[in-house]
Amino acid sequence: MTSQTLHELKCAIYVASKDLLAELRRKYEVFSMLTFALISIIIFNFAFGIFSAAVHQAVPAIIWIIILFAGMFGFSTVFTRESDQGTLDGLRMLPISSQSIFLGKVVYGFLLMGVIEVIFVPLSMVLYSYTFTSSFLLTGLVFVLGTLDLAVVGALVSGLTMYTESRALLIPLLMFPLVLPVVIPLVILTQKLILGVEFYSVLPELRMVALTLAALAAAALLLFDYVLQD
Amino acid sequence: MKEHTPVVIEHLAKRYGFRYALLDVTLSVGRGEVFGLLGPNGAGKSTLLKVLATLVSPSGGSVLIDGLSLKDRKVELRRRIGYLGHEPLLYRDLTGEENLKFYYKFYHSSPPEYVQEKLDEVFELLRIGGWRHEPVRNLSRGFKKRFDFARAIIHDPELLLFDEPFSGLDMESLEVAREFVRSMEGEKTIIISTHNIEEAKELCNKAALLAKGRLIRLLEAGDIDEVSLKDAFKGGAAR
Repeated sequence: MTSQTLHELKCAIYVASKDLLAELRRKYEVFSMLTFALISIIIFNFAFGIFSAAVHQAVPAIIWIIILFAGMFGFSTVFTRESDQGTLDGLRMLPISSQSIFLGKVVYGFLLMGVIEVIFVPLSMVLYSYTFTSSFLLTGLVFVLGTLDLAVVGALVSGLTMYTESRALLIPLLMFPLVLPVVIPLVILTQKLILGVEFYSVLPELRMVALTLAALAAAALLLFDYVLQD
Repeated sequence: MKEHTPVVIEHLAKRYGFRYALLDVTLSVGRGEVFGLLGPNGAGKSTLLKVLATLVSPSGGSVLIDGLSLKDRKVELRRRIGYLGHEPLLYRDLTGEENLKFYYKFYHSSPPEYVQEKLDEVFELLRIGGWRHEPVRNLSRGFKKRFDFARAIIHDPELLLFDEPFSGLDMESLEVAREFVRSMEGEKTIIISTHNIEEAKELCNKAALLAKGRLIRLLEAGDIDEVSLKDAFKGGAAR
């Protein structure tokens, strides 16, 4: 890894740390995400009933739907807030590449979602009486990859829509086609993790999630110079 | 080593759709000069500063800063430029000090004690030390502007670009800001946009009159007067 790449990575961490510090101060996103996750989990709980067999079949979909929508509260604002508060020019003037700024926003989105998942997933396990029977490492890998995927899409869509006033329409229109190839294998993977399958049997879906992540990240990194241009 | 002219602009143009915000602007700014950009609203002053600050890409012409092309060496040139726009580029939820530390990190990897020393120096210069731990959202407009001045100079840039830096400031902030610009004279190259002729007369060694995106006239310190500015209000048609 060259010193320039290391420097860019370090700068991405600076951008993410600044966002985390600002979020710790105001707590808007984390509260709205957490509230949404908790309300959804309780509603689903009432709808299915705790001991219903249907709930166990629906759990993987419930988890990822909640993560996706809760994520939208956080991911969709990573660039729009900079644009709305007029601080975007401050970032654009920094002596770093636009890819570094994008990466910083992805790291922030990932960590923000990670905090929500750490609270919400164990709570869902208690409420819906299920457990991940596969190894902890494999389960962790799936959630890390899935959340990274969503953070990349979120940062990209937020960047693409930050200059427009019709964000409320554009964000879901752009986001849903991009997350579908990620969420479908994630739901299947989570089902398999609950059933307790071995590593080799989750490989096709895992590969799909990893490939989508690579493709989305590559496209976003290539695009982002244009996104941040005037 | 060859000494380059800090700013050389040749036939610069910027077009938004069918409208030219800048057209055929050619000028140069010498080292240590305080150069004024004068003209009415819509003259192209802010656009010119944004081009120099790498925030807006020109549609034509060329800009060299310290002999380096703005088009090809953007990231490198950003280290040498400090830009102050109309609105402060500060994060409202962070304190003034946290904002400055955030921006500083991208330019220098200095030990924390040096960073603190640097911050103290800037705080003293702008008389904002007492407000350093206050979140920016709680600060008055004048203090926000002063912290934004600090942000623009914290990385020791050689070229300072100030877009109407004194507008909307109270008496104290105005005095601090003017004193600050005067203290930088000869040390840094400064380009200031203003439509206040008194400010320009007091602070600038040279000035350019712009109107409707065109350069109307270049002025030496002694020539900056109301008559020149009236010319600019009447002047050029670029659209």
